[in-house]
Amino acid sequence: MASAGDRVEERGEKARARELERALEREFSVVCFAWDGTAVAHRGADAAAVRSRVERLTALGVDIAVISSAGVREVDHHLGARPGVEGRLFLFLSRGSETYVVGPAGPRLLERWRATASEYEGLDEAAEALCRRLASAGLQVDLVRDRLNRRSLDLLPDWAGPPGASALELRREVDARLNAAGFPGGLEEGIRLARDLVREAGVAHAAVTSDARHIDLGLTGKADAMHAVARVLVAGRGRAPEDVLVVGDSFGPVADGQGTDSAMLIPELQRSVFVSVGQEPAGVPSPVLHGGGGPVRFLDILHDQLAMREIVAQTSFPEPTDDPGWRFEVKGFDPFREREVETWLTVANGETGTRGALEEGSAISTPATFVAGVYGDGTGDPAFRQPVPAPDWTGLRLMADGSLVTLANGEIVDHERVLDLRHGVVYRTWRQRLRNGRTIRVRTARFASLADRELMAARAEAVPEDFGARIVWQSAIGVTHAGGSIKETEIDILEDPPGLIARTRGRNGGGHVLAVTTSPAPGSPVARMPQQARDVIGGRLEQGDPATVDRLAAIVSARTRVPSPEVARHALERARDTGFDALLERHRAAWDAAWAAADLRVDGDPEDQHALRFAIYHMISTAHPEKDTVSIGARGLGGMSYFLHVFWDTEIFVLPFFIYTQPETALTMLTYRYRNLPGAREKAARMGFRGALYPWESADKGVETTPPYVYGPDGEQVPILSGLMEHHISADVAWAVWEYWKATGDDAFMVDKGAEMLLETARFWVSRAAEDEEGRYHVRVVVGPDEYHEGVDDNAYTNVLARWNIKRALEALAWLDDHDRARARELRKRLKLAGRELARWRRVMEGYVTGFDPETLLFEQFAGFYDMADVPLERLRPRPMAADLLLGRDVTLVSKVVKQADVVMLCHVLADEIDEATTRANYDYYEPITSHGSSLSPGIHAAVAARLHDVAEATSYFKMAAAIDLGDNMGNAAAGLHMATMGGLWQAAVMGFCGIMRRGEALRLDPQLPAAWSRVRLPLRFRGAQLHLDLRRHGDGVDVGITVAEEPVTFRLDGVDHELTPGAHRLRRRDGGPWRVEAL
Amino acid sequence: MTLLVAVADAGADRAVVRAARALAAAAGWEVRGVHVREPDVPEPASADLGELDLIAVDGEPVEVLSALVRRTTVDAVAFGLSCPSASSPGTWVLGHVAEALLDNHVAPVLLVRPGMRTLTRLRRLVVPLEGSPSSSAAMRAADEAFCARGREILMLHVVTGDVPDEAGSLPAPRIMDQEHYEWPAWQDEFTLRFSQCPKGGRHGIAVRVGDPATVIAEEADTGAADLIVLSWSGSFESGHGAVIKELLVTAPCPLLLVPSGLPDAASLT
Repeated sequence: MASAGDRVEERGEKARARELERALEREFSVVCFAWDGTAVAHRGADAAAVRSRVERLTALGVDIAVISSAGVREVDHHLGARPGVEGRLFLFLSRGSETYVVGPAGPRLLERWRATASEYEGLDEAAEALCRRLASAGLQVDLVRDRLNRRSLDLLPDWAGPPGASALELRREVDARLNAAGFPGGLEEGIRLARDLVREAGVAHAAVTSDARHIDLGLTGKADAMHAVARVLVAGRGRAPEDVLVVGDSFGPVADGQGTDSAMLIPELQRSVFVSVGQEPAGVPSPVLHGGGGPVRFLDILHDQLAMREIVAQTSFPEPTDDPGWRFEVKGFDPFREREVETWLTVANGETGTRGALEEGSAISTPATFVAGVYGDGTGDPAFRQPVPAPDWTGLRLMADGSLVTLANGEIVDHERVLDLRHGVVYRTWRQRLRNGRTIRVRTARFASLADRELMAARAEAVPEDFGARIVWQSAIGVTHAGGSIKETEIDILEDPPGLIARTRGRNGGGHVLAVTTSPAPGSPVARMPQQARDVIGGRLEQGDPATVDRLAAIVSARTRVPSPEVARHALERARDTGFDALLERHRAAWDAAWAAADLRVDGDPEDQHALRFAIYHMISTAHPEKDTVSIGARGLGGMSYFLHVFWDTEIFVLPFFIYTQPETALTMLTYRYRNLPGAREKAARMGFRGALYPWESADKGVETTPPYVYGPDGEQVPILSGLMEHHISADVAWAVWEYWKATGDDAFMVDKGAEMLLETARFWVSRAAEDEEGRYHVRVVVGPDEYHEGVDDNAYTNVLARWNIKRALEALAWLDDHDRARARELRKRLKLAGRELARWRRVMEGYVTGFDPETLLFEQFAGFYDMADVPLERLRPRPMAADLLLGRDVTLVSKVVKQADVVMLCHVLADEIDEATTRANYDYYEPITSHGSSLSPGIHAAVAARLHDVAEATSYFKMAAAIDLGDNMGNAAAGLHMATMGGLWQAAVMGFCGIMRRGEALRLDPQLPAAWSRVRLPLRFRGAQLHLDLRRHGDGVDVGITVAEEPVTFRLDGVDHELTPGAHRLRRRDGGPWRVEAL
Repeated sequence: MTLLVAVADAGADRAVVRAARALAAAAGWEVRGVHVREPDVPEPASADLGELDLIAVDGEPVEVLSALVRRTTVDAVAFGLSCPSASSPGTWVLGHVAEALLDNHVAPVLLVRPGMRTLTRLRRLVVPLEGSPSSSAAMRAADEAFCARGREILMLHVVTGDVPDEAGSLPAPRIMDQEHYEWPAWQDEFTLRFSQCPKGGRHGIAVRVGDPATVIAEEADTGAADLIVLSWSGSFESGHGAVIKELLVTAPCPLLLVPSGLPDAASLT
């Protein structure tokens, strides 16, 4: 049974343990420790664990101070630590006489204090006298002379006891020997004798100390080492004593003497934490905390210091959302689909787009970063403007003990990539069992900042799960596997921030500068390793340690030159100063704002929800809301296919999404066309017409960029007619101008830019039309949206939109006359628009042939279409199909086979003017003979079918459109996404299924939700109003909740206009009956 | 590395041995012959098979050959096609032994029919590819064994309107927005998916429309192909099997049938 005294002692022990625990539960920026007895039990002990912890702590920014009486050869050889950088590990050796700093190449002497010759003589004289006195008593001792600034007498030269014997054991042995030799005072007597002798020898300032086995006569001691620690690592680095942890093993008295580590208790560090891991049988002096446990306990203390920091790295690694509606997941690894996956997982921000290629690369990877709006001349035949791609900034090679970690090295245990659509971050988790049987876990996260569009960032983590190893991340600027116009790329070392910088110049075009830096992530025990050619970060890790790095990249570009590297460097510097985590926060906030304006929530069909969010994500990330020198290329920023050229896809398919969700971005996209008006005028003039004919393919200069020909499989030159004949794009741009104006009420745009664009395109259509003998006007030799039929006359889509273009231009001019007479005058004068010409416009407009038959309500797709050969419908199945390939071009050219929505497209874009009956008639006629051999077709068919209340067919087309980029066996997303399809999906959902379409300056509402959709929620912007719509299926009816903010909005319901003022409203319709409107 | 010639019928076997020697020379293999003696089956007439290293083994042919392939480093087995009966003289069949070897994924099979163009030196190969991952085994086998400088490998994709359901398939484009961009992109991707051989052979891609067997035979004929390499999916009734069944009759040059199957993902990285 324990006595009361025992219980008091026990409570005291617990209190001391708690005090020690509390003292050590914080991070110290300096860890200082004695080598012998504290870090290692003896000189032969394995120091690998200490080495590993020291290297990792230094990598985490902790300064390590090793205190020893031994020299550099002994301590460095034993410790063997090689931190990644110099300046963190210090050796205070030879009892404070020497200070070394240790870097990747080993120790380097910083300071050394040497005794004078006379001091050495004095030490020798005293030491030799002591030897003689002991020898005369029959005691053999060894005099060790080769010590810096001291002499040492080994009192146990023949000691055969165990290595690592405690000070107490040694003291007993020494005392016994001295007692037997006639020194009853034992070691104390020997020390007193030594002190007398040093005084006699004239070196009274020498200290006489003992570690129980030796008597040292020295001019320096541990206190000097600690003074150096205080000077170099505390005062010299602006730290407080509280930042320092000092660990020793012998602070307390040993027999009658003081423990050697008591000399470490210097006044400058009195507020530091002192811990003894020694036995300390006589207790420890204040303020030392006794932990005991020896070197094992010491390792635990270092481990705890590591763990406190590593938890930061482990917990701060960003995670994707758990919400499946926002996760675009790619599980496993399919080499056949990898290029598609890379495209899907593109991170872009309107400025740059980076494919989602594996960081470490592979034989089948095609990493690439594209920069919007930067083009140069291509080198092929024919040469045409091509993008100048940036070098690859994402490359990170992982090495484990010198072995490259790749998917091919061993076995893939788990592999998953997730595009977090909500926040525009691609996450990768990967576990690989290496050929040596060890398992390593890798995580990466990357994004192209939507908040800071010149910046991209990635974090990568590697954790050896079941082994310790030297883990190294090697980063490099790699080759972009994309082709394009690159005249030269120069790569240099970047000094500050440390990294690499690459300058890329296109041929006769623009260029950009990419600056990249890689650094250890907070809390990861890895450090930069200086190399010539690469950023290399790494360190020796133990099982479970995270090697985490942050890679930051900045790209600055210019359209006609290579920008100054300083601009990129400054951008990178800002990124570095902001840090990965803060950059990610800013990026996420920007995406939150973007989604708040654009998210389309569908309940009931997760696949459709996914397809819509995937589309919206890529539309937002491909558009630049401010930069009007760029627009959206047909294949986005994720692939080189279509060379980032801008087609009618942008205005007709994608722009409506921006008009109704982010009109500021729509304005920027239209301004791109306004900037390029000179190029459109040039093209019209070159072809002998007036006004503005927008190029079929547009790049940086706004001139025609369509290659004039291509080489066929047998080497024959095949002309490409779209650049010569596909003129409807001018009317498409005009349509976009009008749609934007009507949907936003942005009069300033119409005054400054829109009216001029409408007038110049209208002027083109007037000059393009040829008058026949009956006074009718024809547009001959064109290609309409249906590109199977080239060189046709009077394509209905082209002609009807051309006539519409002229009409709207005249209306806009009339409006301008009323609204801003000065601008109207200026335009008339500058464009030389005389009244006679305008009168001709009206005449031509009235005489335009449209192919419309009021009896059948059909538009003939082009003159002579009805006379073409019929093709059995079964030969046009399954759809989508490239009918020209399967049937042969010679067949499709003369047959009633339609590549894509043409007349149906017309009914869609002019839904404001073409009534439902006409739309129905044309849809029924053209739909069966449409092969959908274009990605532009299914989405629009879905929208039109829904408008015609054919919901099942609309749903089928919607899914066909969704499969174009995402289908398992399409494969055509490998080199870029189909932006028009994405815009078409949005239009099908909003204009088709939700039935929301502009009618004049009102919104018509006629929801026709797919059977699986129970609810749709979406935000919209319309004429200054901010709307939130909530459509719910209710039996055979629908309830629509509408919140209106900012401005009132007019809804047209069953042909009747209802103005909804700011506030909440509910619209109800049951069983196809009339709408009921309630204000809430 | 060995090509094993299954000697069964002297009439066909001379052509088989010649083709086998040419194929083995192209791939760096040895050629060996094996004759499986079945109980109650009369021995074939002796034939001059040159200096073929021929062994004779008693037993059931499928078991014997399968065991031989598994025990030794046999890369392919060569057979002469047999005509089963006089009542259907135009019908050439694979033979149950070859079929069993293919079905069991034992080894590729070289088939030579009397009257086929003599294979003396492998210069031109035609590899029909429907664009599905599992059927691309033929292409991998062709690249691994025969791709070399000076040799031409034509990847022939025949468009039929049928689209493989298998994930990762890449048939000819079903949508083609702008032809001048779609075709180069499709060809790049087709090459990346199905052939990235760095050994210096000249790879070409041809896309044809029509009945696959007819088109393949025509292409091999007009292109003076020495060998057609095809994936074998395990059935004569549909898909590849139906095509192969027809090619046994119409192919102008020897056929190498490769058991289909998906490669290890990591091996392609």
